[in-house]
Amino acid sequence: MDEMATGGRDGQPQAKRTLKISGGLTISQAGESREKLLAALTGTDELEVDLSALTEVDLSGLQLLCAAHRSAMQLGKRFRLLGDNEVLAKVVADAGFQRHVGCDMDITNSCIWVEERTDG
Amino acid sequence: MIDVHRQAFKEEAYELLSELETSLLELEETPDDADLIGRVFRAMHTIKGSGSMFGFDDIARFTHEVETIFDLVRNGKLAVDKKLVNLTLQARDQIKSMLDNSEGEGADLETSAEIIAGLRALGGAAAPAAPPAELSPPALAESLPGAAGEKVTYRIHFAPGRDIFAAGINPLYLLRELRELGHCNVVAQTRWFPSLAEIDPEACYVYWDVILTTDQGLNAIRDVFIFVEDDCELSVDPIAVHTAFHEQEEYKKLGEILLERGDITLQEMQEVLDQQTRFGELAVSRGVVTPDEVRSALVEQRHLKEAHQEKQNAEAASSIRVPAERLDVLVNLVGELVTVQARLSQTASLRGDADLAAIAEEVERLTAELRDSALNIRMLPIGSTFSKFKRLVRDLSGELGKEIELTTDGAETELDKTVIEKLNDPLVHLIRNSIDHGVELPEARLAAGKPRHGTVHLAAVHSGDSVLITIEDDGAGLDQEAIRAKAVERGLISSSAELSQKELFALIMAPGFSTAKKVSSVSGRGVGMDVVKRAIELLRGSIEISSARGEGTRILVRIPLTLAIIESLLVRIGADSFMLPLSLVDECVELTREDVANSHGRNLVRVRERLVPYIPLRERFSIPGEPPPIEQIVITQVSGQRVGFVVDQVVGEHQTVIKSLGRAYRNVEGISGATILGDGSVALILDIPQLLEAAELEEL
Repeated sequence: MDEMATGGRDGQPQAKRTLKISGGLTISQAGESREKLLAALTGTDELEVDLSALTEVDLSGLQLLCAAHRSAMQLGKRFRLLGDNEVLAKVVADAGFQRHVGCDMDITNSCIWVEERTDG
Repeated sequence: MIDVHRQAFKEEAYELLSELETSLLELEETPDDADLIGRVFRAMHTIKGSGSMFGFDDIARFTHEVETIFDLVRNGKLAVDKKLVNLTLQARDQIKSMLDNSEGEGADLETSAEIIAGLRALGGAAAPAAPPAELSPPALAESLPGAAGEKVTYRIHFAPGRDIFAAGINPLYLLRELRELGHCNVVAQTRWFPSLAEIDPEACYVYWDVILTTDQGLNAIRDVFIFVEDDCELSVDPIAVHTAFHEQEEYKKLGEILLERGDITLQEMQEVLDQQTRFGELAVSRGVVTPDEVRSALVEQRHLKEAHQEKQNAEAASSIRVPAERLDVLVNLVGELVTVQARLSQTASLRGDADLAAIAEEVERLTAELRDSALNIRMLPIGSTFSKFKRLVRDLSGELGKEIELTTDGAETELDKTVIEKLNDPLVHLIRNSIDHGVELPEARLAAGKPRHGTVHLAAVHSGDSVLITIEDDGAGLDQEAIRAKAVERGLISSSAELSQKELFALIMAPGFSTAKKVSSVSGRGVGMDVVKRAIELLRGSIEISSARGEGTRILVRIPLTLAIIESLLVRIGADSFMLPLSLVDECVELTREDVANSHGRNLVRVRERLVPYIPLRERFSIPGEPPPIEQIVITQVSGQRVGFVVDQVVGEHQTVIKSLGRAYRNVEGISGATILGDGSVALILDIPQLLEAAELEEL
């Protein structure tokens, strides 16, 4: 099962917060995961999601992360993914999610699927 | 039209078969090479696919069996061994004879059945549980566009229903299946994603644009989606066909792709195009398309570019197919042009008109370039012939119980197409000789302190305007004494004749000369070497033999690059003009009346303290009139022998376009052809080797 840990104190909004998602981010935890992402996002202006301990992810998980990023942008908040994860990278590639530029919703140019640029 | 395609198929199939042979022979040496196995499989697959498409059903059916076996090999279920290679080579020959049998019908069915039985036995041993039919790839009988063997690029739009997850289907698996069909680019479209607050976490919002290049056909793609078809938005459109027969047009421009997809109208595109900048960026900034649409289209463009590239690489060796006759016509026309140009230059220099001279010079330069590139088109690497010999050596040495390896060098050396064709038979003869007479049996080799394995080395290299081809073996070498004895017996030389090694070896090229004690099916009937010699001479080449007893024999064949145009030396006797191939000419010296008187009626002249025999051409051709006080001797070198030809006057070098003589003059001795000079007169081209032979016969 998944386990979510949030850093920082509860209560008032903080400048920066890290949400660590370990275990699975799949259809079976989809509802639960959405709640946690939503809660974490409400409590901060800058949310980092640590996926380094992710062991399983599927299309619904990718959708949730993308939606979370979208919500953050709409709320004027910052959202990014932390931690290299091979499982995640493979599913992202399989699903054809990786891209060179963000989509038209990506108003802050912070798309989470854009590959690291090496050419600057 | 159908016939054109059938012809194209045949040509392609022949090409594939010769490639197949090479691959198989290589495979025998490196049985684990997955690359080679793949190549064999693909060749079979293509022959089968296109064969059935153009109605060569027998071939398709037969090839299918072979392909089935190589599918097993490819999947590691069957190992490559000598037996398999043998059978496959037989199968290859069978396919070829089916092709030769004009319509692919009526081929020897028994042989086919035998080969298939042999292959099945091999395959059955590897996978006893599976009947061959199940192992075959699908779509043999399909002859629709996109049937097996033909690579088609499809654009697949796949938008699963919202509740697809609930149905227990993971779209990622479908994508994975698509990837297995061929080269695949997947672009996920995320624009329908709601925000976190609105999202139904168990619904599917994503849709995909997939660009897939596959030879498996449309149905194979549809099959992937068979379980979700009713519950998704799916379109599969072929966007490019990559056949072997048609040149692919350029890959599509980004705008065209967007247009085709209906993301943009023609008018919108035209408006954007009016401002020449990067189309994609502009279209986005205009708000006509979204970045996502552009991205997806860009992926498609890149994909097609790659598919295009891949095909080009595969066809690097032969990019367009042109009938050989058309090239011959082109070369003939260039020949005419060269002749006319020579006349133009001559006229211009006679007139002394500076303007005309300048034009003539320009024409001369262009003609020379045109001539070179026209001749270049007909140049082919000699390697295609070499690979045929590999098979020959393999089969022959097996038949004779010898272990012989053929090594080659300079396969990329280019020669005129017609020369290569005419060179084939003589080379086969020479190689047969090396295998039969040259290389010894393994036991004899070991006894002589040589490795069991004999080697025949075939090499080609450019040298000036000719190509040198060497055939070298490490066998027993020529027996000088046996040759001498035989030559004396045949009355070719007197028993006391002093001959250099070179002259002695040249004797084996005399008609009917063979020292082999018994006649084998391979060679030794004594019809070999003289035929070889004549064939090489007809190509205006020469042949030379050197050999060391016990160490091997080396045969050197020198062949001019092309038959159509040669450099030659223009000479005059009386009012007549003659040409001598410049490649044979060594030097020119003067012959005075005094010299003639001093030689006491023998046709010999002393050049740098060595005697050179000469042939007075005025006498030989019975040309009336008195020779000038100082004549010229053109000294030529043929098969290591220096012989002079006496002429009145040496005019100079000349680019000679060879015209064959009419039927009535074809067999005139000593003349190999004719050419037209700048002033419109005809000059005869001398057949030097034949003149020498005739002169030698007269002396005896």
